[in-house]
Amino acid sequence: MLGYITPDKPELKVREYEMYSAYYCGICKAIKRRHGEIPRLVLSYDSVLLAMILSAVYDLEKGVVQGYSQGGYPSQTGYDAEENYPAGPTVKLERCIIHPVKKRAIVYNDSAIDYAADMLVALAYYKFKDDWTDEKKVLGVLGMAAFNNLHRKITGMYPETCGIINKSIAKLSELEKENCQSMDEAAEPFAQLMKAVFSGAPLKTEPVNEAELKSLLGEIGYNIGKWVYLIDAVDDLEKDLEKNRYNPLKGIKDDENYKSRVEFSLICTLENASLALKKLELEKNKGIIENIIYSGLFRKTESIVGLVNSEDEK
Amino acid sequence: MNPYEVLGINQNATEEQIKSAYRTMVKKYHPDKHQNNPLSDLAEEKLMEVNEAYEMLTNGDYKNGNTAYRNRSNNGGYGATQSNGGFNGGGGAGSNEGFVENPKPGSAEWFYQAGVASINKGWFDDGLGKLQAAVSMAPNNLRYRQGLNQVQNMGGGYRADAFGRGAGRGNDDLCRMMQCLVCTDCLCDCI
Repeated sequence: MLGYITPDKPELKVREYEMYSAYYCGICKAIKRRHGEIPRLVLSYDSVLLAMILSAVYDLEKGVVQGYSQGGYPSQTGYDAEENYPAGPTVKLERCIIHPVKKRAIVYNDSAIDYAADMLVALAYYKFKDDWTDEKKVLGVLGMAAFNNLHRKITGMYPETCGIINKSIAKLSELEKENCQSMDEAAEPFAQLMKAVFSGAPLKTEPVNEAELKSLLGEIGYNIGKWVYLIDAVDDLEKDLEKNRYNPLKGIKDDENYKSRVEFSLICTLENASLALKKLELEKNKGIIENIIYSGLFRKTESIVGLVNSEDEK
Repeated sequence: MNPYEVLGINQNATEEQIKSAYRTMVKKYHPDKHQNNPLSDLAEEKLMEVNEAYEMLTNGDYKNGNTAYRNRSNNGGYGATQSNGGFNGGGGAGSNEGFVENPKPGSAEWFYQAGVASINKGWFDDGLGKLQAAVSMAPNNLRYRQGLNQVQNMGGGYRADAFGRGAGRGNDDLCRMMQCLVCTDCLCDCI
């Protein structure tokens, strides 16, 4: 279920794309700093959206309207939601192992990025665990062993969120065993998982509208999670049929309305996510976040479900 | 609730008057105006009432003998679903689930209410199926049909936003500039 949450790159401005990459690299570096070298392997683009939205929410919290200067880079005189980073989010140009020649922009000092990194590692552990218990993959048990300590550490940091993740994953495999054929029911645990991940981010101050902020974040998470689960099911349907694996859409694949039903659910889910996003009224990273929600996810839906005639394929 | 009272107009108001009253009311209670404001809850409630009243009046069945409207309001604690208010939100809140208890399980009304609850918590496929079941069980029920139509039109806002971002769909800045130039050119003749 990785790699679905991406921006629509041709529609991004160059500075937005650079910012997006800077977040991506920032998460990678944050994993290295917080958890060591090996977990960097689990890096994925999906986590960038979480980091960007959270970073913008931290901005809201502090009442700062524009976190970045016009050039699209964080100003040195910014602030951060965490006392640890008095200088605020900054962008540095650096080389790294994977890109040893060209220097890349990397975001530092942003607690949103740290949280995204933690969640990525925690989810990787559960993914390994799932691989091992369901399919007895050797990689799964190796991964579990490698991530065991990290998992314990992160569970200690966010006990509530990790509790929900744990429960959701158990529920997910339970439904799989029951061969659940309702797409809504099957998607629910993963949606709840993402809801917990999005709304579980620690807000550093205690804003008056904390409950509202969290519920909006949760709503974005819920709908993104649900969308990811469903689009993954659509994408894997053929493969799953071949290998006789579980897929929640098996039951309705021969329905003459299969495509329109799937499309309806996916688009409505995205609409809910976009409505919650609108209510958040983020300023920072707005262009990129909206690009992902309105363009990136829509294009993915378009190309995977093959809904409307997509005349302007990239 | 008397829809005329809610909109602050008299019983003989024309359609135009209803419309303009509705618009001013919506502007007055619009959530954007009451953000971070202790009155926001009240405004939301009012807005829902206004929506409901407007829909009653524009549907025509209130004027034509009032019967449909009476039946509806006797339904009890159900108001939200008649207006757009019932179908927004979602995101696992499930706040409307409570009213499933009343009707007999398996009846059209039960399917309808369960469907609405599903839609509201974001279970779109489930909800759509139930609403369709309700409509096919009671094809003459206008409320079910309207509900279904409303749901089937969902996603339109998102689609419009998504398409609006696509390149070259009439939203081209250059195109707009040329249009402006042509228009200005036309005006030159008047001077």
